[in-house]
Amino acid sequence: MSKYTGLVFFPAFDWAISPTHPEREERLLYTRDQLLEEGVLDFPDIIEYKAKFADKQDILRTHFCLPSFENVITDAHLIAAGSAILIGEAWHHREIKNGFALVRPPGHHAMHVTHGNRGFCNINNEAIMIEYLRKKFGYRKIAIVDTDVHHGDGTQDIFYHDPDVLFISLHQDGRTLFPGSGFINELGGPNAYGKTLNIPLLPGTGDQGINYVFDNLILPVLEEFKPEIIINSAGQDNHFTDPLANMKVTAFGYGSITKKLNPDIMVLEGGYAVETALPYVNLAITLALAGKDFSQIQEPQLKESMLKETSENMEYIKKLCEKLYLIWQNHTNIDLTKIFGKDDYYTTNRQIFYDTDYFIVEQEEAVRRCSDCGGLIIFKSRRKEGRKNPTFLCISIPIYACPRCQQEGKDRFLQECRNNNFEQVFLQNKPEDTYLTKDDYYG
Amino acid sequence: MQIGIDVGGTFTDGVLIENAQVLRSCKVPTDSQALLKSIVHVLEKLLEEKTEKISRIVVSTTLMTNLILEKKYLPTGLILIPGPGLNLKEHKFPFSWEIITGGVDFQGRIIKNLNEQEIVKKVQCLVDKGIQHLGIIGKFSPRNPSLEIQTAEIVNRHFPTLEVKLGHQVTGQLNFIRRAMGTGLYLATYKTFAQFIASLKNALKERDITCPVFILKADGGVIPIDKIMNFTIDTVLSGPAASSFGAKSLLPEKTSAFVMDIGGTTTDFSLILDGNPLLASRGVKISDVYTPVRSLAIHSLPIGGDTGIEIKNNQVTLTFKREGPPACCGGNTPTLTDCMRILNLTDLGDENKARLSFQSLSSKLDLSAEIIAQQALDKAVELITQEINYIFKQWQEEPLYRIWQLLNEKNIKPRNLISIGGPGKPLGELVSKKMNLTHINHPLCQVANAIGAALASPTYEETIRINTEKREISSSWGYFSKNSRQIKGKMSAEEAAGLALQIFKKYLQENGVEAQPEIYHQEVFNMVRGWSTTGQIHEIKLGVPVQVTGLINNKE
Repeated sequence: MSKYTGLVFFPAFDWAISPTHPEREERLLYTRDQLLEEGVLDFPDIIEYKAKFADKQDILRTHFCLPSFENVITDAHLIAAGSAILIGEAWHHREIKNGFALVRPPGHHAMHVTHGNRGFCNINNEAIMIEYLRKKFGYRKIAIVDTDVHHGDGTQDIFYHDPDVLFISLHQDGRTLFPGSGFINELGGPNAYGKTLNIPLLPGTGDQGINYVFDNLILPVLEEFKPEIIINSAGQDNHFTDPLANMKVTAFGYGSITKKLNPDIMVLEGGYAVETALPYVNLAITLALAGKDFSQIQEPQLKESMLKETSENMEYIKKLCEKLYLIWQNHTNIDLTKIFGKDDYYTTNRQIFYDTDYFIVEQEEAVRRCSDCGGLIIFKSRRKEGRKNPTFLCISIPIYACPRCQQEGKDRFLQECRNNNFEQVFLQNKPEDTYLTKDDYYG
Repeated sequence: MQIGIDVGGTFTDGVLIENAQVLRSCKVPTDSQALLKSIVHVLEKLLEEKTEKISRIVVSTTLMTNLILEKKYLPTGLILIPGPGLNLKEHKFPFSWEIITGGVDFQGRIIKNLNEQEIVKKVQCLVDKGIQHLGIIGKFSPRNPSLEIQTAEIVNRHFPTLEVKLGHQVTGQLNFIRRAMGTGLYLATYKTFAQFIASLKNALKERDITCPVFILKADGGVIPIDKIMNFTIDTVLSGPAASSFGAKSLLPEKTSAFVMDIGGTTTDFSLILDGNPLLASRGVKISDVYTPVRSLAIHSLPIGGDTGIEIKNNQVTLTFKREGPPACCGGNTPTLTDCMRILNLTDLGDENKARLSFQSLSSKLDLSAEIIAQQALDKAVELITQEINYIFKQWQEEPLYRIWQLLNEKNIKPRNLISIGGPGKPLGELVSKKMNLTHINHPLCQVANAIGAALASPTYEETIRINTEKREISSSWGYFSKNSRQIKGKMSAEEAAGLALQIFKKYLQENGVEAQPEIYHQEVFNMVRGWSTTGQIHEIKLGVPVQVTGLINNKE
C-alpha cells in the first residue's frame, strides 16, 4: 500500500458568494497560513496535488442542472468537483493511501436535481467523485460519513434509493438548524431501506459525544457493511466556535474521529469559523490522515470545562445509538409495503428551499420499486414563485440499473419528448454514460 | 568590463565581458580547502595587468553549500516557541534545541506569554551542551516578532556572551521549521563565511580593485559584498543558478529551453520559460536540510563525466558517484567520459588509456568495449531524459490556488536543450535526439556559469501583507511594523500598492540596490467578523524582475 497522504488544496482566493458571505475569499486564508507555517507540505509522505477542472459529463452523471448546466455551474464549482475526482483517482491508482480535498465551494446540500445554490452548495463534490469512480473503475459499495454540523441532505437525496451506498450523517438536530431535516426516520427509499442513517445530536454536543457515536454506532455499522471506499464529508462546523451552529467539538476531537474512521477520501464541506476553527481543524485532520501526532493542537479559546458532556446529553446519545443500531441490524427484515405501499412507483412530493438564492422548488419524485437495482427515478421539478414557471422532467437510470429499469427509462424519455408536455426533458442514462435532453431528440 | 567568477566543486571558472562579448575566459581546478586561492588565480588570469577598466565583479561561491553538506557547524542551539500545533518531534534539527512556553497565531496575536524562569533554565541547558550561538524562533514570528525580541532581551541579560539571531530576521516567509533551520544554519556558519568575505575583500584591495563587487544568490540575484552578511545562507546553490542565467544569456530572447549542466560528479537541470529561469516554489532542500532560501527550480542527478561504469548482475550500469578523473585523462577506473572517448564522441585525453580501462569489464561480459560504452551511455541518457520529463511535469503540476490562474495556465513546451559543462556536448546531443529537441551548444557553454554570474543583477520577489484591522505590516524578508499611521481601516488597492512599494524601495535602498520595483500580483481579503467587515488583508507580491544585463553575442 502507498505510504502517501494526498492533499489538494484549492482555497479559491478569488471566489465568494458575496463580499461578507461566510463562503468568501478569506475562508481558507488562515488555513493556508497554518499549513505553510507548520511545514506540513514539507513532509515527504504528504503529496500536494494541483486542482483541476471536472468535465461537464462528470457533473451530468450526478446532477440534473435546471434550467441548464450554464445556469447552475461556474468555474469555481468545476474546480472543487474536479479536485475531489482527482483525489479519488489518485487513491484508486494507489498513488496515495488516503487523501483530502481541501476545496471550496462545498457541495453536500446540492441534490440530485439542482436549481441553484442552497446551503452554499451548487453541486455535490463527493457524489460527483463517487459516480466517477464507480463509472470508470467499477466500484460498487461506498460508505459516506458526513461530519458537517448540518444534515447532508443533498448527498442523502442523491443516494437515497441506492442500495450500494451507505450514507451516515451526524449533525445538529434539524429542529434547531438548517436544513431542518436528518431525522432518524429518514432511512432510505423502498429499494435502499436502511442505507441512510441519520444521527441528530443535541446542540452543545462535543468531543465525548461524537467519539461515543463513532465507537458505538458508526464504526460497528461500517464494519458490517464492508464498503470498498469510505468517504468523509468533512465539514468543520461542529467546532465550538462556529458562528452558524451550536456544537462543542474541538480540533483535537476532529483529529480523533478522523483517526478512528480512517477514511480513504475526505472532502471539505462547511465550517465558517475562519480564524478560530479552520486553521486548527484542518491541521488536525491533515495530520491525523498522515498518521502524525495532532495532540498538541489546541485552539486559544479552548477551556477544559468544554470537554465534558452533560450526563443528560450522554444518556440521550447512548439511547439514540442503541435505537439506530437496532434499526440497522433489522433493516433487511422490515415489511416495506407497510412504509412504501404496493404501487409500482413510490411517489413523494416536497418543497425544497434554496436559502442562498432564495426561492422554493416544488418537486415530485417517483421511484420504481425494484428488487434488482436502485430503481428508475423520475422527477418533476419547478421553481414555485409565479404561476408561469415551467416544469422540468428528469429521468434518472441508476448506474447499476437492471435491464427493465433501463428500458423503461429510455422509453419514457422518447415518449415525453414526443408528448412535449414539459419545458425540458432530461435523461440521465448512467449505465450508458449518456446524458440527453429533448433538444438532442429533436436536434 | 565586467567579471564573473563561479567557484564550483571541481573547477573555478571566470569570464571577462565587455559590450556583450566574452573577451577572455579561464578555468582552474578548485581547491576546496582554499576557495579564495582559486578566485585569486582566476582573477589574475583574467586581468593580466589593467584593473581600472573593471566596472563590476560578481562571485558565485560554493562555500555555503560545502559548509552545509559537510556539516561544518559552529556549536549552535535553538530556542523554539512553537505554541500549539504540530509536535516538533516529527522534525529533526542538526542543532541542540529546547522548547519554551509562548505562542503567536497566524494574525500575530499573542496567545500565550513567555516565562522568564523557564527561558533561563532552558538556555542554561543549551549552554551546558557547549553552544555559543543561539537562534530564537517563534511560530508566526514574521506576523509578530515581539516574543522573539522579548526572549532575546531575557537571554542577553542572563547570558551576555551568547551570539543571538532571531528567526524573523532571517526570513519573513511562513514555514516555522525552515525558518528555524535557516536561523540555525546562519549562526552555525556566519563566522566562517565572514572570514571568507573579509579575505576576499582584502585580496581585491591588494590588487587595487575598487569596483563594486557582488555575491550571487541561489535565485540568480546579486547582493553587494558589504551587505552579504545579511544574506549568507541565500548564497547556497548559487552555482546552478549561475549556469541557468548563463544559458539564458546565450539563447535568443524569449526562448524556452531545458538547461543541462554536466559536471564531473553531478548534472544539474533547470528550466527557462519564455526567457526566464523558473523559480522553485519552495525553499532549497540540500541533502536532508530544508531551508527557507529562495532558488531557481534546480534538480540534480548523480551522473557526471567522472561517474564510474560497473557491472551488476551481468548488466552494465553506473556507479552514481565520482570515481576520480576519467581513465583517458590519467585516472584508474572507466567513466562516462571514457565511454564517449571510445565511441569517438569526444577527443578528450588518450583513447588507448580509455580502452585499457575497459578490459576487465569486457572480459567479464565477453562484450566489446564499444558495446559496453554504448550501453552505459544509453543508461545515462535514459535517466537524464526521465529527469527532464519529471522537471517539466513538476512545473506543470505546480499547485495553484486561484480560479484565474487555472483558467490562464501557460502552455509552454520547451523545444530546446542547452548543454553546459565539460561532457555537455556529446551527452546533450544524445539526449536532444532522444527527446526530439533542438540541441544548443557552443564553446562558451563551457563557461556559461561564469557568464551567468557576470551578468546577474539584483532580483527580488517578495510579499508584503497589510492587516488594516491590526494596523500591521509584515513582509517575506522580515520587515515588521505595527501601529503604522499610513494604514487606514479600509485601503484601496492603489493605496495598498503605494504603501508596499514605498516600504520595498526603502529596503532596496538599505541593500544598496538601484532598481525599479514592480507589483507582480495583488489581492485583498475582507475580514468579516460576525456579519460586518472589520478590516482587510492586502497581500502584495512585488519585486525586481530578472534582468540579465545584455545577451552575449560572440559569434563563433
